[in-house]
Amino acid sequence: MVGKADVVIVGGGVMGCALAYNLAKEGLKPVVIERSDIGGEESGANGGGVRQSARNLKEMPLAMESVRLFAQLHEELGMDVEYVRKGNLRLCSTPEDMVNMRKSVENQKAVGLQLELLDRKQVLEINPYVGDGVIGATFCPTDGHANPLLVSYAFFKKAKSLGARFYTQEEVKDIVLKKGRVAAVVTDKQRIETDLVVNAAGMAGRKIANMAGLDFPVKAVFTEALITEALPPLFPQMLGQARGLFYGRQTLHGSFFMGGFVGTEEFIYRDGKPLFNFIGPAISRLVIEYLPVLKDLHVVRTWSGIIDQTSDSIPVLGLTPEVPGFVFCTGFSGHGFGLAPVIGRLMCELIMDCRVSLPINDFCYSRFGKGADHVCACKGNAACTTATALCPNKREWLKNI
Amino acid sequence: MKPNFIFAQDVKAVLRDGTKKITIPQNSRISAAALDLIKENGVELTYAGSLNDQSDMAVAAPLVEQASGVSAENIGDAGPEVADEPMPEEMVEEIARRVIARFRELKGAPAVASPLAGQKLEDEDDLVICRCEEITRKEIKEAIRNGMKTLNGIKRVTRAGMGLCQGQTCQRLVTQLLAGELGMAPAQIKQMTPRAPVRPVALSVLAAG
Ligand SMILES: Cc1cc2nc3c(=O)[nH]c(=O)nc-3n(C[C@H](O)[C@H](O)[C@H](O)COP(=O)(O)OP(=O)(O)OC[C@H]3O[C@@H](n4cnc5c(N)ncnc54)[C@H](O)[C@@H]3O)c2cc1C
Repeated sequence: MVGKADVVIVGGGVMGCALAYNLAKEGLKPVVIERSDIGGEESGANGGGVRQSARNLKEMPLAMESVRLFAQLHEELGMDVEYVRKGNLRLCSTPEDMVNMRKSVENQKAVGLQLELLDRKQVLEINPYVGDGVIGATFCPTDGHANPLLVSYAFFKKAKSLGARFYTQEEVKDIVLKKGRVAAVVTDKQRIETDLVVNAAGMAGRKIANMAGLDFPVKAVFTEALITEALPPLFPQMLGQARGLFYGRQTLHGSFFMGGFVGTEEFIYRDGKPLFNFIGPAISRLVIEYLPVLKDLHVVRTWSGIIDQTSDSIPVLGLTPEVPGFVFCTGFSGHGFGLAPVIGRLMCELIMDCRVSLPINDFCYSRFGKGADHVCACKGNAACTTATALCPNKREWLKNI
Repeated sequence: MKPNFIFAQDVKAVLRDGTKKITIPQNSRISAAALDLIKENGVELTYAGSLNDQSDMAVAAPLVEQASGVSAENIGDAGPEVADEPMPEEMVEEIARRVIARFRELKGAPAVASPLAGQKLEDEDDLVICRCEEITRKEIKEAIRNGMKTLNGIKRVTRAGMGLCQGQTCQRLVTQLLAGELGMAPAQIKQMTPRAPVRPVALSVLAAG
């Protein structure tokens, strides 16, 4: 039983764990409530891609900083998370792919990303195993991958050792508001008095927002992935396909992770859980086409994952004046893993100082109230909240610490 | 010489008749399930042959396997889980090889008779629980003590159950460990989420599906 907490984080995925670590490092004693296991949902199902290329341009500054932070994780968390920074190839097989990628390369270079468009010969120099159909690719040398299972676990372990408290197999059922602001979190096992609750619940983020009377547009997108038996190292890059048909990597363990998507998601899941697996064959066909050397490898396991896709495919981050004390950290739309270290840090800065070192205003909750492509006016997300939401809380904590 | 096999049923027999002693003839192979029973129940082993004998297959031990890419235990684990029914000979041989090698490693140069008498499972932290991925009892216990309270959780952070056999062999053992650590009955522990394709299948085969 906790009784009272500085801050309660709903969700022990990679985001919840990364934030708990950052807060614990600052001396707070965050409480994390996780209804299944640490990294038991999306964070335990993903491809491990740590990439900047092919991101929404709004996310680029965050992604670049995250790549820098990934390199320090091993030392910082005291655990090898199998981070490999050997680039990302986004493979093209049609002239249209090349045209689209050329445009995308220009846009991304304009915001400072190191990225080039390669022809087939150049691709083969980097990865000699690609199939005959590959006519070119984009290459970002500073992209890479890490082991997602270990990243959540490493954040969790370090956070715990610094005083964060984790409660697994426990579900948040309600958020209690008093005079319009967060007052307590109720789980199936206890009630915790707190000024601050962080919604890091992944796909369940909407449900958690609803508990505080908030809502945002997010839908579940069904994805599937497979893993093969191990081979000696073939190639170290993260791979993707220009149209996003599949993506994958060889893990340090030697096995190949390959993931893919379909568009019929509405029909194949219920209550947030897929009814059956069936993308495996489609992924396999693509893998064989793009990486024919792998065709006789055995697939040892397939699984599915649900992506929390917001209406504009970027996350919801930060505070809202509508419910002081409620912090968004959700809606990562299928590419959150690579951002986790920077998100953990920024959310911590926001909570501790009402000020973030990289702007997150593009991700504020109020964007949904203003129509699709609005430019958010809130300054760093703090302006909408500093006065009302945080500072009183902060004074309260300073008394406690 | 054809090896002599010791299966779980043989161990159960000596448990039933209360002698708790088993004589292992020369050139014997012990199945994984039998070994578990032996350890759990402190069955006393007597070797009829000598483990110091260089011709004993135990000495050949596991190193050879690694060169061949697919390790021999992997082949063993992909086989049927029910060790009470005789498995194909080669599989049992490979498992036994590893088991005997482990005994020796743990015990140093073994005595001719009863090197393991009265040995408690608790001491066997180096025991390999998941053979496909070579995950030891210690690693699993560590994960549990770090807060992994489900088989899925343990699997994610240790890889136990992620290998070629997908936990067909180790699931029972991990369940026992977890139950022991949490003070629950093994039956109360939720099973690992089964993942298709259950038995490894080539990409080219799956692609045709
Ligand atoms: C197949 C697949 C491949 C992917 N590949 C990549 C990739 O290569 N690169 C990349 O950057 N991203 C990738 N992603 C996306 C990435 O995995 C996610 O963006 C990221 O893991 C999100 O983390 P999270 O902590 O927000 O969510 P989650 O990991 O889902 O964590 C949320 C947690 O909240 C818990 N929870 C929910 N409701 C409650 C409640 N009421 N009470 C208590 N706990 C609750 C859940 O159990 C869950 O553990 C992929 C996703 C999938 C599915």
